[in-house]
Amino acid sequence: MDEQVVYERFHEALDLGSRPGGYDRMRHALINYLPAAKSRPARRMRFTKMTFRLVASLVATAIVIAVAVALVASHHTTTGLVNADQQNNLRAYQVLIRSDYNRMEASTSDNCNTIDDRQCSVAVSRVVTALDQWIADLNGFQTPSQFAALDLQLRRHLSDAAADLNAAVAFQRANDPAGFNLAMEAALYERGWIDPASFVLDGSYQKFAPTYQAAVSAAKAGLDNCVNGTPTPADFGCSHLMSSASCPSATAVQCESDVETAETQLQQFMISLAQNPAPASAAANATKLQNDLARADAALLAIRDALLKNDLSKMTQARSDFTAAIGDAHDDPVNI
Amino acid sequence: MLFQRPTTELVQSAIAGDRAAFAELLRPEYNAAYRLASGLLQDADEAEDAVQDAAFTAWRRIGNLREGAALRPWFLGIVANRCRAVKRSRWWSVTSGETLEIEAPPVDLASSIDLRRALRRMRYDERLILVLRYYVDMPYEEIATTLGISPKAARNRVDRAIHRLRPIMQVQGAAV
Repeated sequence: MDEQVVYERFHEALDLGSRPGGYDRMRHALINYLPAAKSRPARRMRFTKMTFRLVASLVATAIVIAVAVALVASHHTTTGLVNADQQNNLRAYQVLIRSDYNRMEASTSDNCNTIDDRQCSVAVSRVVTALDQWIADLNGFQTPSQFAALDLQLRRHLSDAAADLNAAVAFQRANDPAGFNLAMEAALYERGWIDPASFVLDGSYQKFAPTYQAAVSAAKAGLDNCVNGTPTPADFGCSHLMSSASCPSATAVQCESDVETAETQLQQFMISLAQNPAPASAAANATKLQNDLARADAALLAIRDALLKNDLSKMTQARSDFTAAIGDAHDDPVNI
Repeated sequence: MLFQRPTTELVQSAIAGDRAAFAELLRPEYNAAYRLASGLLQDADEAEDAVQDAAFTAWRRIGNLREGAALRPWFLGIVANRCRAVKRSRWWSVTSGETLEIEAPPVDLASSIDLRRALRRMRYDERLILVLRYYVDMPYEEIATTLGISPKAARNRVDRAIHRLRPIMQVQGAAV
């Protein structure tokens, strides 16, 4: 039997038509899925006169509270509207993040695995267009305040990813395999950064820390280890960068590795803080901590850029910026 | 792969409990899974539900995924099992004879019977292997991994199943 004919018959017969959004519905269900609690067998309740009095008094109390809440709410309609606006803005922002993420994902391809791939530059152009569109969308949107620092870093990482990919194409044209591999590795790392940040911003990521206090404690412990030279494996990147054991004295690969380890650690701190808004009393200090972490992260991006461009003076400046930002961030949590 | 996270990294994150990473892992498999489910169940809503249920099952079993093992056959195997369960539940809840899982009748039926109807009347295992081959467009090696059989056995089963469909394909004008 002619297989091609069979293929065509099956496709004609079975195509039900596409159902847009099927994957997103599955993803939403997966991330928000919670096993249903087992229903308990109903118990027969026996009401005594005392129980009736108790229930009646509870109902009366509830009615009084409801009336009070309604009165307070009627005096704060403006506040309510503001909150509703904020909620709508947050939802719109999350839809935008997911939509741009999906566009970026759809632009990727099985290209640029080697420097010999002649389609690489065209493929890169597709991804870079999607990244640029994402940045433009974010620039035109009012970012919800709790995500300000992480959103700013996302824009920087999107931009950095585009720069890495363009650098890879430039290295390909210059027939520089080492540069090509370094740039592709950097771009791939950026993808690993963009994913969790996007999922946090669209509200679909699990919490890194359960509370604001836990988020601050984890950040403080990591920064202590980095600054005081007592690193755990997660702190090695930051510690090496602080102690001159790394860029530019180490090899490019080692420098790149330290930058990535440090970026991953800083991202975890930033995500934890973004997911756990500070209480009002600590809001100002929390914002400063997030901004200092973002400064340190921006300095890491500059180190990588200097590495790709072999720009020693930029590297020195970026390392100095990193050291200063980490020092400030290290001092911040003590005040919270 | 240009700007795609390596599957191994996503698997490790998923095993560590990262649901978002697991969802990304399934993203490239979704279309094939939906095609398989819709081909088997011939109902868009049921197909989407079956894939979603299979994803939950896969999540619970992600620790069983061997390092280096291909994700698609593993996941499609779970989808196929889920569709089989849906068909069974239909058997209990639907009284219409057309959707029953019955012993396959001869397929050389009247010319008016189309391929879908003929497929519905085939045994589940036959329908599964035909859908995998001719609708999900899987190579024999992947079909074999999905069904836990050898590639040779997969080819033989496809040949046998298509042989049973031959009269229908002829009626429809195919060059068989």
